[in-house]
Amino acid sequence: MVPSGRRYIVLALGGWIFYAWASPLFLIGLALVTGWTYLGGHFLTRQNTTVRYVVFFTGNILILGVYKYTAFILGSLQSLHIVGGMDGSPLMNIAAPVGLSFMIFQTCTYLGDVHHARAEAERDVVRYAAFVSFFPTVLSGPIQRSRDLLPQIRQPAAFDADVFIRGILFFLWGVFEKVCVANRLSVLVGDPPEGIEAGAAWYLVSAIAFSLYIYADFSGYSDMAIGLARMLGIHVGRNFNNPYLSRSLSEFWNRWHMSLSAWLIEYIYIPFGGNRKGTLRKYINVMIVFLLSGLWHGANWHFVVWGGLNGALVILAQILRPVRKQIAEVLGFREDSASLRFVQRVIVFVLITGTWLFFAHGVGIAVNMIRTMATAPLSAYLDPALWYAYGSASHTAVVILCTAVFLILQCKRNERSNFANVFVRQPLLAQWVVLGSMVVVCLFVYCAGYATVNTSFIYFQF
Amino acid sequence: MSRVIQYCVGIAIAAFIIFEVIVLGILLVPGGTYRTSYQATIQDKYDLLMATESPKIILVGGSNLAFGLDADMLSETTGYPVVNLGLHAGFQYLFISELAKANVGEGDIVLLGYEYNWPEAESFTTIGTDLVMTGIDDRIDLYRFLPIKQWRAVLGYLFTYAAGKGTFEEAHGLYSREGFSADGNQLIVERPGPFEPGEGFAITVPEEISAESIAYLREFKDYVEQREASIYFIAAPYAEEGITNADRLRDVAALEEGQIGIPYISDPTDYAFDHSLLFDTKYHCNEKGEAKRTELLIEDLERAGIVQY
Repeated sequence: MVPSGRRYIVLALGGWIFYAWASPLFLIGLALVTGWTYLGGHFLTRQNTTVRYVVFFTGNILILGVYKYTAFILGSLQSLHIVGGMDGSPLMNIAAPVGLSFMIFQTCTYLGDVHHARAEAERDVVRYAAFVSFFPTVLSGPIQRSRDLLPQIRQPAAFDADVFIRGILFFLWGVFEKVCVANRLSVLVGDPPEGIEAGAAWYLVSAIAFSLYIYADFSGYSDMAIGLARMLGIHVGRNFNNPYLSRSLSEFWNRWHMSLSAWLIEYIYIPFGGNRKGTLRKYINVMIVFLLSGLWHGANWHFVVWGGLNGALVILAQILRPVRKQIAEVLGFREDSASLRFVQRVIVFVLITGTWLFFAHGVGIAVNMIRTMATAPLSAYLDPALWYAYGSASHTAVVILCTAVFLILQCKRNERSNFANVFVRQPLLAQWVVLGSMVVVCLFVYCAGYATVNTSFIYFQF
Repeated sequence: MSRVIQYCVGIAIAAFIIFEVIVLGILLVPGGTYRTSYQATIQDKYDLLMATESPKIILVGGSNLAFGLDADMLSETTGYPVVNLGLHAGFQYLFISELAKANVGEGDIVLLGYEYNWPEAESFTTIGTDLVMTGIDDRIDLYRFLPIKQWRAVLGYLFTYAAGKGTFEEAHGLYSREGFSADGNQLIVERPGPFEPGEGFAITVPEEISAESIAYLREFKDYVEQREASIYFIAAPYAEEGITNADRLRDVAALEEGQIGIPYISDPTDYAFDHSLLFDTKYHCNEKGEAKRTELLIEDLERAGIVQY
C-alpha cells in the first residue's frame, strides 16, 4: 500500500514505535547509536582514514560498554577493593535498552562496510534509522550486515505473494519452536519439580533439556524475525544451521548463531591477525574471540568462563586433530563413515552440553552437576519419576514429540527439498489446515501454563 | 495482495474450525462425565439462582456456606427466598462472584461470606481451573461467566480435563452432588465425626487487602447497587483454635469496610466456634454449628436493619 520509495519511512517509524514499546527511555540509546554511527558514516565518506574508523567503531562499542558493562566492571573492581562505595550508586543501575548488543554490532558492520568501501554511506538519516531499528531483528538478531540490509531498504523488492506466504510459514514455525519446544523444555531447567530428586538423572535430563531449549528458543526468535522480514519483502539470512549435527567444535560454532560468529570473525579474529601470524597467535586469537563472545552474552564472569571453556576446547580439538585421526584409523573408521559421524556428533553434543551448564547455572553449580553425574552409579540414572516431570506421562510424551518434530524438521531444512519448498507445493486447503493446526497447537500449549489447579489441595482449600 | 489476504483468511478460518472442533469435542463428548462430583452442584445452584425472583437473599462464598447455612431456616425467618451459592473456595471467589451477577434484581440482598483469606490477590485474579471446569463441565452456557482473562487457563487445562474423563469415578455421599438437595441449596447428608483440630487448620488472615481484590469488589458493589440491590460482608464461622488473636479479624473487617465501602454487618469474633460445632475442617459446621451460624446471621441482618421479622 505504501509506495516503495517511501517504505523506509514506515519501517523507521514502526521500528522506533516497536522499540519504545518496552520503555520510551530506550529510545535514548537507539537515538545515540543511530546518530553516532550515521555521523561516523558521514565523516568516513568525507575522509576515510583508519583513525576515524577506529574512533567511531570504538565509540560505538563504548556505548555498549557504558550501558551493559558499567555495573559489571565497577562491581568487579569493588570486589578487588580497587574502588569502594559503589553499592546504591546510579552507575550500578544503568538499564541497557533491549537488544542493544545486536544493534551495536549491526551498526559496526555499517562503519566497517563504509570504511572498507564495501558499501556507500547512507545519506538519508531516516533510511539509516530504518536500518538500525529494523524491528524484526532489532531485539535478538540475526545481526544484519549493512551491505546486505541497507540496499534492500533503499530499493525494496516488489511485493511477492509467494515470499510473503513463506514468511508466514517461517514466522509460525518460529512460534512453534518458541512456544511448543523452548517454553516447555525450560520447565526442566533449574530445580526439579516436586517428587523428583535433584540427582544425576535429573541433572542429565536438565542438561540435555537446556541444550535443546536454548537452541529452540534462539532459533525460534530468529525464524520469527526471518518470517517477519520476508513478509516485508526483505531477505534475512539463517542464524542456525543444525549446529548439533556438527562433527567438530569449530564446525559447531560456525553453525550456531551464525550472524554473531561471522561478525566476530570479520571484526575481531581477522583484524587481530586470524591464522595469518602463526599457530600460537591463531590460538590466542581464537581465545580472544571466545572470551569476548562470552562477555557479549552477559555481563557476568560465568559467561566469560563459558567462553573461555569453549575457546580452550576448540583449541584443544585442533591440537589433537592428528591424534584423533590416528585413533580413527587404528579403530578402522573411515573418515566419511556414518558411524564415525555419529560418534563425532555425540562427542560434540556432550561437550557443548557440558559447557552450557556454566552458561546456565554459573561455575559452582555447573561443577557440582558434572561431579554428581560423573560419580553416580548407572542405577542413579534410572529414575521413573522423570516421566512425571510435567505432571503426567502423557504431557511428557507430548513435549518429547514436539521436540522430535522440531529436530527432524530442522534437519530437513538443510535438504534441497526442504519443508518450505515441499509445503508451498501442496494444495491450498492442505496448507491452510496445517498452518491453522499449528496456530491452534501453539495456542493450547501457550495456555497450558496458565491453568490453576486446586485439586491437589482439595481438602484444605474448602 | 488479494492472494495474501485470501491465504491469511484461509488460515484463520481453518484455525477457527479446528479450534471449535477440539474445544466442543472435548467438552461435549462424552457429556456430563463429572455430573456426580461435589463441584457439579454449582450447576444446580446456578439454576436455582436463575429461577428465583427478586427480592431474594444471595449468599456468595466458599464451603463455609455450603456446610454452615440452613437456607430453609433463613428463608422462613426473613421471608426472603434464599440462594446459597457457597460451595468451594477453590473455585476462587472471582468465579462465584461472577456467577452471582447472573440474576441480581431490585431488592435483592447479596451477602459476601468469603473465607478469611479472600483479600489475597489470587482470589479475584485467578480461577481454580480444575474445579471450575469439572464443575460446570458440559454446561456450555456457564462458561460465559468466566472473564476473558481466564480463558487462557481454561484452554490450558482442557486436555487435562479431557484425560480426567477417562479416570473419573462416580462420586457418592457427602462430598458429591447427591449430598445436596435437588436445587443444590441445602446439604442433606448427615455429617460424620467430630472435628479434631490439628496441623493445617490455622486461619490465615492477610495483613492487607490486595489492590486487585479492592478493585474487583468496588466494581461488584457498583454492579449490585445499579440493580437496586444491596450488598454486605458477613463473617464465616471458624474453629476458635485456628486463631490466637480473634480481634485481628475485627481489624480486617474494619479495613474491608473502609477500603471497599461494603458494610460488614457481623462481628467476626462471634463466629469463633468450639470444635464441637464443626466436623471435618476449620470452616465446616456440623448440623448444630450450621443452626448456630444461621441464627447468628439472622441476628446480624436484623441488627443491621436489613430484614425485619
